[in-house]
Formats: sequence, structure tokens, C-alpha cells
Amino acid sequence: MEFDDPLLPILETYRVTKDCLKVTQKTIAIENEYLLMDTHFIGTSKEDVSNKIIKSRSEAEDSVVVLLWAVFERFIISYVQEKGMLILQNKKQPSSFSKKFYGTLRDAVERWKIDGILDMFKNGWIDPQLIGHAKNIKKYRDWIVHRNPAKASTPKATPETAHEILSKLIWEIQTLSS
Amino acid sequence: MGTKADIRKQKYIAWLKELHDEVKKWIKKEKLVAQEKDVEINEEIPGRYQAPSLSIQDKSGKEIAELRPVGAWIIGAEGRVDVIGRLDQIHLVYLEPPGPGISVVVSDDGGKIERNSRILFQGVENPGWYWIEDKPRGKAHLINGELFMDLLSEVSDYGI
Repeated sequence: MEFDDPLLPILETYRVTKDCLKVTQKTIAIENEYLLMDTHFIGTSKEDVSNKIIKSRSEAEDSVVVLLWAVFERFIISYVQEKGMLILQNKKQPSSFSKKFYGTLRDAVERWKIDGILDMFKNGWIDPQLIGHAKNIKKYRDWIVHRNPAKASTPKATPETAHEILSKLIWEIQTLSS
Repeated sequence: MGTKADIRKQKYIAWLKELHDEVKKWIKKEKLVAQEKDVEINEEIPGRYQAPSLSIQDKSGKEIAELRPVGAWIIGAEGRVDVIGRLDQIHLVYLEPPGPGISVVVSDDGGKIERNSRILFQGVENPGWYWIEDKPRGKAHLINGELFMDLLSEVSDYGI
């Protein structure tokens, strides 16, 4: 089955960002003023700029995990909403009730806890370990977003690992539906 | 006897030290030097603890890159250390064969059947520090001297 990975564009954008930062570091190192013209780097020390770029790289890494999670979460919610549409096909109840029921369900799913939704896939369909990894990525995403320096880090994930886990989960769920 | 968290933490620190010993040997050939120091890590499960980091420097004492420990509680791995240079940073993860596994089990009318068994990263045959290729379905490569020096020049301007 061909897999159209919705998370791949995020990872590709992250790679481009990383490469751009790398090129900029090299530009700073060789002090090419032409390339640095019209940037905020002019008038700043080489060391300062270099440190800011290193910080930006780390921020980009965190941001990509947040973005990967956001797209993954939307996929899961949309999947459950789509499955809920089966209610509309129920001929045993009045269609007006089915429509109202589906509308209520569709809106309610938006507020459901993602951990609970993921648990629905556990019952003999998808490896609980994979679900567990995904839940840990959610925890790490929350830790990044709330960014309390005093709070200990939850288990971390690299952008590559987060992508690998979440895209595998999407692939498995899509395979179940096909 | 320590708790499970203590044991995991101690294993992680021992793996870091093993990696540092190897790195010191590899960089010696390139006339580079290494300096070790402890840094604080703060993870949810074990709390705050000290773990060794390694600074790689040229003959003049200028830092080329740092091996900075990230933690022992890593999603999909047993531990992580980042190699941070001026140009880039890469992640090394400690993996144990066959790597973090994923098996897919599907229920049919007759009960559960295993449909597929996949692993997160290909190429994990021995326990050790691995670099994961930065591409979809990235392969894990056990770190060795040659690979480490390649990665070092990728993250820093050393050897350019």
C-alpha cells in the first residue's frame, strides 16, 4: 500500500531550516558582508551571532516535535470523526436523529483526551508499545510548550524518532481502514 | 541495591564513559584533545543527576564540538548524547538489538493474529551507540572511528 505521509513535509522543512542555519554559520565564519547585508547580524559580534544560531537550531528541533504532534493529532481526530459518519448510514433510526447525533459526536471528539482516543486502538489492533511511544511524544510536546525550566524533562524524542513513531502509527491506522 | 531508575541511570553513565573512551582514542589520531566534565541532567523519573560531557578541542584549545548528555529516558532508545558543533548538531542514541520493536496484532473472528512485526530502526545488531540516518526509514549505524570523524566534520568546521 502506498503511504502518503502527512508528516514528511514537516521533517523536510526542518531539514531545510537546519541547512540554512548551517550556511549562515559558514557565512558568518568567513565574514562575507555582501551575504550578510540587510540582516540583523550586521553590528553584532561573530560570537553572539554564532550562539544565537546554535540556540535557533535547538528551538527549531523542539518546534518540529510540536508541529509533528499537531498534524498527528488532527489526523487522529479526523479519523475518529470519519468513522463516526457510519452513524449516518443507520437506517433503523430517523435520519434527523442520526444527523444530530453525528454532529454532537463530531464536535465532542475535538474535546476528547488524545490519550483516551489512542487507547481505543489498543484492543488487539496496534501494538500498545507504539501507542505508549506516541503518548510519550505528547508528554514531551507538552513539556516543550509549557517550558518551565524548573520542571524536569519528560522522556525526550529527536525529530527523526518522533516522525518515525507517529508516521508508523498513521500508516498502521490507515492500513487497518483499507 | 538501587531502584530500577538508579540502575538505568548508572548504566547510562557507564555507556557515556565507554563512548568517551572510544572517542578519545579516535580523535588522538587527528591530534585533537578531549576534556571531560560533569553536567547536570534533570529528568522526570530519576530527578537531577550528574553525567559526563566531553569537549573536543584542537591543539590551540578551541572547542570543535561537545558531546552533551541528554538523558537516559529517551523515546525509542536507552539513552542519548548530542554531538554539538558550531555548524550543526547530531544525536547519538544507545540502542539494544533488535531495536525498539513494533509488532502489529490484528483481531479477526478466530482471535488475534500477528500481522506484521517491524522495528523502529534497521541495522541494530549489537548494543551500542548509534547514529540514525536523517531520512525517512533511517537506518541506524553503530558508531565507529571513521563515522565519528565524518560526523564531527559535519557538525563543525573541523577538517573543512
